[in-house]
Amino acid sequence: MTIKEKLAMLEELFEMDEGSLSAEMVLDELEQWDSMAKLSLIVLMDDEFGKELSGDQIKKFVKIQDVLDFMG
Amino acid sequence: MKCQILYPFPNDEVKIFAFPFSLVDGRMYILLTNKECIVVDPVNDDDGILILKNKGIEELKIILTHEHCDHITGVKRFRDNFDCELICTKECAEAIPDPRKNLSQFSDFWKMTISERNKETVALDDFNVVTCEADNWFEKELSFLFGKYKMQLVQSPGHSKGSLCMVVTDVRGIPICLFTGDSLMADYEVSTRAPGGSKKKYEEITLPFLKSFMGDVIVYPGHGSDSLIKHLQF
Repeated sequence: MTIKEKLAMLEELFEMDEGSLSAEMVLDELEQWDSMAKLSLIVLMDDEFGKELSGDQIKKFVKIQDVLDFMG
Repeated sequence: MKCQILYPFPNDEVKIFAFPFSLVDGRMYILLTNKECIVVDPVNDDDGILILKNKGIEELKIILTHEHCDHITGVKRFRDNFDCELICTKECAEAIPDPRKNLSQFSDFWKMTISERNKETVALDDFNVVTCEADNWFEKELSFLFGKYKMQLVQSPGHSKGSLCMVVTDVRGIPICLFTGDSLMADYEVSTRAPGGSKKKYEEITLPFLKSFMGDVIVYPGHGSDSLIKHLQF
């Protein structure tokens, strides 16, 4: 999966316009980064990437790049 | 758990008890006539049960505004004490027996989030895995009488697939109040980013429905305080 495809997935999850998200963006500066979005990210990681995302791991995410890295 | 008693109906024909669920500022509502009772989004707490004990309740309906675990924690407790009929949308009925779909599977995440919000580690037994089952479900809309009042359950997707609002209208067909779950709240923004949520459905189906109500209709939300709909901006 390309970075563009991964970003598109996150844009859909965050209900953001296509092409509006970049790897350098800071998660805590996004108003969409709320508890429901975090929960959806946990489900997305499991469904699409077969990875278990813990609450502790989420706390370590600073930038979108960290999420992309976790996707693998 | 202290409850607030509300009297929005003429001649106090129906009492509403609002129970706060402090960890998530949630609300369980109990609507009571002489012999009938409706519990909206039951919370796992004895006080709601105690209010109904010795009241000679002959019919108890549980209405779930949606499938998320913080709105179903008390179902078992009510079922253990009363003969209940649980009613919800078809999508909610499909989700509540499944801890993944009702989101209680992610209890560690809830505990972390709530502990952060409350700035302390708290006992969060209510956020363990929870499941339940519906007795009756519907698609789009379902109505029934409660005393003299018509209760209209209307599917309101967006926050979740299985969300509903309950409209209470009087004999003239005039709406008195709305139980909105997480589809409209005075104190909180509605989130459509949960698994199964849809901003598109919320904007296309639920918002126009909510905007059809005006004036002094009272909104009883799933979290936070009640409000007249005319005071809400959405």
